[in-house]
Amino acid sequence: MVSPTPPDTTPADSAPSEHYIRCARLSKVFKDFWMRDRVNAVDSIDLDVRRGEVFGLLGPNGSGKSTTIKMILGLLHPSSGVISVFGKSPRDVSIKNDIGYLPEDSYLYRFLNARETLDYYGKLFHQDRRKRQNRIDMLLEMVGLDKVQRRPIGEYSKGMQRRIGLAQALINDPKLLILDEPTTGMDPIGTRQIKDLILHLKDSGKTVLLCSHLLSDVEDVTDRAAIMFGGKVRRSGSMDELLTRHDETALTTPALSEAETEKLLALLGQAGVHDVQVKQGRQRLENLFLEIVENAQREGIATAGAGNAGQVAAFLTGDDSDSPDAEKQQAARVLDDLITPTSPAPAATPAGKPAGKPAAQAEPAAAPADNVLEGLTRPAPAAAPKPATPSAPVTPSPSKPKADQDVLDDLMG
Amino acid sequence: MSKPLVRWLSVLIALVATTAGIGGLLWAQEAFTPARVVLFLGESATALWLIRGLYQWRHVGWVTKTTRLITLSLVLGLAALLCEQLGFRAAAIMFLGVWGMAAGFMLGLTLLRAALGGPNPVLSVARTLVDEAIRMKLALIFVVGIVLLIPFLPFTLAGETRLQYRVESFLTYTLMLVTVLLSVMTILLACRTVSTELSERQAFLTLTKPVGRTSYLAGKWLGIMGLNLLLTAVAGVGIYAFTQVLVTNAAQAVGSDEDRFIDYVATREQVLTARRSATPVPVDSSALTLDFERRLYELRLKNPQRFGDPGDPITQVTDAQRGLVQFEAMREWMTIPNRSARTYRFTGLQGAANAGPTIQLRFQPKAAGQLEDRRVGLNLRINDRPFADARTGAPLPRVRNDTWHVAYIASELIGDDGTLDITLLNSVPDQPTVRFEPNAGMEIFYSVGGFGTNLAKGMTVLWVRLAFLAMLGLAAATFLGFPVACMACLLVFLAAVGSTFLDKSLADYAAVYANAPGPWAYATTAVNKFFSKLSEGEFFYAFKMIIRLIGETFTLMVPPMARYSPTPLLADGRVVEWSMLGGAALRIGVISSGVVGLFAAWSFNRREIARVIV
Repeated sequence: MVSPTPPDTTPADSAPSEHYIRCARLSKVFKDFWMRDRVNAVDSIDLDVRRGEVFGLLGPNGSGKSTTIKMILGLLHPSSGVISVFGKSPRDVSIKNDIGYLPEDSYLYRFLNARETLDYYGKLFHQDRRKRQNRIDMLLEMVGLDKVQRRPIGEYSKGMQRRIGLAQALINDPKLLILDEPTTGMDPIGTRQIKDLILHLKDSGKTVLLCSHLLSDVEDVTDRAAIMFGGKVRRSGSMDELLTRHDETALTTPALSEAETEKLLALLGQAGVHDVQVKQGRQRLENLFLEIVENAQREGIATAGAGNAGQVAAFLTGDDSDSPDAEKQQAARVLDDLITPTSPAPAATPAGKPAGKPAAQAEPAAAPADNVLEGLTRPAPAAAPKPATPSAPVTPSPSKPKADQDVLDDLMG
Repeated sequence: MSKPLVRWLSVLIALVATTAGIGGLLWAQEAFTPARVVLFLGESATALWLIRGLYQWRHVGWVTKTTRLITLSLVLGLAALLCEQLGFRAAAIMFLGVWGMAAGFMLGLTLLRAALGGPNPVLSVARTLVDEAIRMKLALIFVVGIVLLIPFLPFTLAGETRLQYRVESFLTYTLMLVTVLLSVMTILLACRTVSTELSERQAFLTLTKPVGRTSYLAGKWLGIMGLNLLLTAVAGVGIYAFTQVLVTNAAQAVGSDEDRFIDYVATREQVLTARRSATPVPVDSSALTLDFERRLYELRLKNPQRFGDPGDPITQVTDAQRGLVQFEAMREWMTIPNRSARTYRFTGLQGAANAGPTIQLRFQPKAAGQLEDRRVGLNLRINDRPFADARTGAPLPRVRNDTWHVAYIASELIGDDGTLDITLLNSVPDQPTVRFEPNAGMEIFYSVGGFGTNLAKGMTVLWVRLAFLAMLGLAAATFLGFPVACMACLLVFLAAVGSTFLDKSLADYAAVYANAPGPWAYATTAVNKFFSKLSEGEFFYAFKMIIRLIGETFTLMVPPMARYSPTPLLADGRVVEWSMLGGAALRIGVISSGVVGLFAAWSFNRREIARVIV
């Protein structure tokens, strides 16, 4: 049986003014000394990033992702085509007020410490001292570097440099956040934190352009994506459009005994579904890792690296007030889930979605599942139509939503 | 400021106040022993509390700076004290000098960073550059060099020479040292900061913030010039202070106390001052003009192709040719044969009449033949009256040949129209011809200001020159890598410093003699000559003309730094004129730096900041 495609929740029909980034027939050709074409890095691509969405720009190394981003930021000039960011040219300095950029590597001053680094970038946005200091305090706590804020950046590990790089990208509370390989060099904790942060920023109305070749990271957080290869966009669309397989259905249940499994298979057989695979549920390695680290932290084992990440900085949650009290009161505990053991109920976490994902986003998947299971519990009609894909395996996902316990109970008698 | 830090500071202040209060009270009541005990205990407790706090709060910026300053003061103070006790007074002064300059630099740096601390992109870029210069050790090496060498140099100069020469040497060496060190530092810093930020990509991040590329360059320039301002100020104060140290330590082996006093006075009046000078003009210029025309006529007879026909107007020679003939005529005029006299007129001395009771006649006689006692005898008359030294009342003695001498003349002898006539008679029998170099061989000097102001003006000229080098380095780094940009800047710097020499060399290389004055005539003559040489098959000469064209284009763009060099003026006790300062500011600071700055902005705004990443 095929679950219907969930409604596209992305602002696909948004007006043109809702586009933060638009690229039309954008090309970039790098020439050699003799002005001969050397590399066709980007080849006539069309791209648009809409307000409030998380857009993933995917592709293998050398596919033109970073070149595209650098053109969007005005660091490279297009060979042909048009780019507009907030409706203006990327070389217009005024648009930079609303952009946060995390490059693929640490482009920070090695001789400045974390605090001085954020202070420097804050000043570039004309932020007064009080506002700057408040934001720096919150960001350092958020990225877990408040304890090592006086160490020069040059002494930081790569992951710590990514964290401070992320903090500088957020110092201006940007409307558009451009993240180029944000999880490179990060440990799983940092990776998870970045993904949670992206979702949180999306909830706060920010727009994120995420460039990565770590597909699982992108899959977890993006609304729409474009896949590049050889300088061209090969496919683009919402994640559901790109990923949904219409020829198979996955069914996840709590642990079943052998008898219950047989019973279920028999029921499925009665419904005409014969080619069924049954697998034992497994938790994700990411969850296991986080559980171990959490236990070690609870035991007070010391580390010289980054500390526990803190709350998302209040000024990023949509509250424009820079009052420290107001921000503290409204700060969301996004990372609480990070340190909450997930192994007891691994199946309760949506597949690939971080623990902090708002429940509302998981709901649409539950309703179609009810319909499917209701159909299963009814006696099969004599001339039941064959499923579209009788050979499609049923692969239990350890993180499929825990939505159908009652239905299953009925099913199992 | 955190609460524990405030508590620590409060306890520190309480300890100091309590110790001073109780100790003072006991001392006032003449209970000296208890007072000493209280002061000892209180000071010990304060010192311990201070050390504990400085260690505990070492991560706080101002505590770190204070700790560095205290440590520096303690180390150098103890070293100075030890040297003084061991009888090495010079070393003690040197350590104190190092301390003073280092502490001054540290305090100045704090002030500079505070001044650049505002929430503005240009200021922010500038402040980060200052941090980069200090923390990446690039500027620090030059700072250490200046802070160590200026206090060290006075004690390396030989003690037995005259004080005047020692001070002149000290000023020459230190000013050259500061000029070279700061120029090289400026070039390295300017080239490095932009080229490295482009190659290591820090510029990517900065330029994705609301910072224009021109603002970015302006911030870099401002940071370099802020650092240069601080260093020129510290160096200037250091040079001034150690000049005074030198003067108060008069040479020991000069002779009697009177000789030492004369040496001291000469140093004060001829070096540590700001003097304006006047060079002589002929009383009757017609003789000199006739001599000039005679020389030109003879040259035209010999070489009409170069100098024109004998009947041509006098204007039909180039400035360089005219200057050469004039120099020869002047040279003859400045020569006094045996049994001859010549009168030299100094004009425009109205200011000198009010500058002080005396003015100085400085001259360097050069005899054309052998002298028995290597001394020259000259009869000197002022305004047609016998000369009597304004200080001693004595006539001019026989003076050593080929050596500078100073005679003091009463300024009241200057006429109301500001003229003074000096007649020199070569009256000693059988004495060879005596001559003086045109322009510098005989001058009248009079004081118009103090050494301090003059030094400040000289350091300002130096700072203006650095402004150009900073802009040049930034401009080069916008399109060149670090090593190439450095080499290009050093080439321009050397050309600018040697601009006078370069101009003369180019004028003699593949010379072009125009038929008429003016640039158009010069250009057409040069083009015609180029093609005629080609048609004659003299390709090498044509090639030399191209080289000269390139060289002249280059020198036209390079600011004439040699013309704005304060070092020889300061070492010679000559005033650094406001016109020189203004000229340097306009020619180098505004025009040259402005043109280079515009080019840098244009180049940087055009270029693609990001490197190729595919």
